[in-house]
Amino acid sequence: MTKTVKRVRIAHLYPELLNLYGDRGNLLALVRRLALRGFEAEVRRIGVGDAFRPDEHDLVFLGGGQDYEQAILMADLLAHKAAAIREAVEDDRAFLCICGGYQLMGRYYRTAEGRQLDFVGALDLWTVGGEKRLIGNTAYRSDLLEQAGKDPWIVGFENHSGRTFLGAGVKPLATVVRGHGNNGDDGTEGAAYRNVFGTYSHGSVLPKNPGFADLVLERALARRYGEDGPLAPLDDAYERLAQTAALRALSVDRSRRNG
Amino acid sequence: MPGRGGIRTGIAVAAGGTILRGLRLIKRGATTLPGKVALGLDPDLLRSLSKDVPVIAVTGTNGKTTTTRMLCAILRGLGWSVVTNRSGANLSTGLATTLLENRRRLRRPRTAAVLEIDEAAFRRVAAGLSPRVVVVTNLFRDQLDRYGELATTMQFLAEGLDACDARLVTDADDSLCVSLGRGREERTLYYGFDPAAMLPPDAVRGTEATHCLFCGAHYVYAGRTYGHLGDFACPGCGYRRPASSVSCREILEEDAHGSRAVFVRGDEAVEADVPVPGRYNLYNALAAAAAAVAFGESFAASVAQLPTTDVGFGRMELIQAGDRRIRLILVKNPAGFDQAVEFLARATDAGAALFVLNDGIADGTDVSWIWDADLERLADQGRVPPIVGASGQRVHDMALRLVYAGVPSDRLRTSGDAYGLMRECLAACPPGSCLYVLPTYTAMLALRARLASDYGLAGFWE
Repeated sequence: MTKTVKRVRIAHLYPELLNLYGDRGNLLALVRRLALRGFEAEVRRIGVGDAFRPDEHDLVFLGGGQDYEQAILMADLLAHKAAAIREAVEDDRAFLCICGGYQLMGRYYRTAEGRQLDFVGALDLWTVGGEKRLIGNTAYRSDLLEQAGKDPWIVGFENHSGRTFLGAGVKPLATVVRGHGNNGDDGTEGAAYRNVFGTYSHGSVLPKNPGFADLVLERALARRYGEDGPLAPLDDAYERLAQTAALRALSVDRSRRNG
Repeated sequence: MPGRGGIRTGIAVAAGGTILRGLRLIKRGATTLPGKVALGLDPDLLRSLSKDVPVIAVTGTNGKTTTTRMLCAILRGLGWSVVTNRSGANLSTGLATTLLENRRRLRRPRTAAVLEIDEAAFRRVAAGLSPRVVVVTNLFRDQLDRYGELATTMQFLAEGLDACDARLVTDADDSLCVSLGRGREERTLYYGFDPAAMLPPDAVRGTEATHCLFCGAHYVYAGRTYGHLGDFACPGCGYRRPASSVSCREILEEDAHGSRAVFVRGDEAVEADVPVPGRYNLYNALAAAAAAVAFGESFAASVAQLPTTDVGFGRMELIQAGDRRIRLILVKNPAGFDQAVEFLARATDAGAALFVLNDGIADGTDVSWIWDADLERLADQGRVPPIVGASGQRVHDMALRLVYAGVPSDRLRTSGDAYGLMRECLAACPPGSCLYVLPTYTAMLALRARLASDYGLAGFWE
């Protein structure tokens, strides 16, 4: 009798439009870390005009896009996918949303001129356009990761003009130690709600932060197969070197909560 | 009558010239400082210095330096005396330095200035330089940390074009470049691949500019060359690849030294001998030939000068290192990295490869882009060289990228000392083989300076 390979279905939403600097690395990380544990990852590309059904995916990935690219998908997103995304979120499907994709999951975006654009509304957060872009290397520390028994540090690179604010319905993913985070003001970075994780980190974020990658995967596997233990550890020597070098470049001491 | 501007320019020129001579005396590559000081004294210096000379400006994201060099070779071959910023000092300060340095030559007859200009700097210098021809090579995602978004870069280029009345020479196969020609049709000359010479659309992985700039519909491609370049058409609004006036109709031969191809203009077909390999260099050759045509030169005579191009300087530069070779291939964004990796995957002489990733301002401080290039193709095609090195300021990011790409750890060497690792990789190369070095910009400058002293190459300001 052959053992059935467990499959994880990953949806890549708008792969041709939300694929800014390094988003591909996040998918590579998800697929690689599943494969090394004997799971089979299936990545489905879902673009403008393609159906998105909330019950067909274990993990949904949304990357970032440039403004003109995001403008192209807005009508399709709001008319044909937003309700299904909200349903999938409430049904505890795992999501990883980066930068523009993170903003899109919120309630709305208000431009610097005061014009308000409705977004998906799956997360209780909103974004306000800013003048100066928030750009640079970042180091964040996540209590959420620590509580899950993971390395709490997330290193990456942020590049956004929008300022995101969190409502009472979501928790921050992490605390800013270096960089700007959600809005450059309140010290929060990213958001977490049910099995949804949003962050401004490019980098790509997952390869260098394997603890974060595994947390996202564990949530997807728990929902699909009811496996609630941690994933088997991997030899993350190169991953750890890259993360440590990034922390060192920002003069962050990983043993201190505030770096 | 010398007005205030004349006196101010005189002082600026004198100050810049003094600094230039001082730096030359101590053998420093004075590529920007003299211009910086002089521009501070006279902000309108570029206009005064360039008023007697026809200027050709070369901008765009990839291929500026190579196109500039090809165009210089063409014009020199046709009897022009050419002033150019060879060192890639392509901001206003570097341009001012170049013009200052050559201010006497600029007044001589049959002299032209061929200037590589940074795409963001272009809008600020276009009015002053008043170029006769502007080449926009292509628009790829590049240094998003510096420019924010590609739309911003396009806006900068449009502003520069509107500040002068130059002929625009640009790539018909690039949907972003063609948008610059829209509304400027009467002064635009397109070059590109003949759609019949393109690859089938499925043969190329295009991830940028997939949707129409004007209506948002998904482009349909009848053929592609690389990246988002190809025979695009929008089914929504009809925006499509325009006919190109200068085209590559057929590639006859490609090898490690270059390409032979048939270039056509109207019913005139000539064989082009491009002395530097890589498909993107065929585009650079088309751009240079088209620019020469827009400048008023004969098409066939221009193409005939292409073999005299001395490309070098880190762009596919081949350096003889004893009984081995080093191929330096500058990489700076996903599209260029993709092409360099494809070139490496096709090479039959690779003894080792070295990837050097820096994150200075000129490299891009965001290194995320290394994940967007298809490095996986090396392992997928069984073309991982026997030794693969990772180095640079972001050595560990580069190493992790290579591990992900399937480079086995027993082939991987990592070191923060790029030059030391380069010597180690070279020593590991069998005699007769080639070490492929893929550095980012500042890494290339540093490595090439060491190679220049090791092997007696020309310095970057010569």
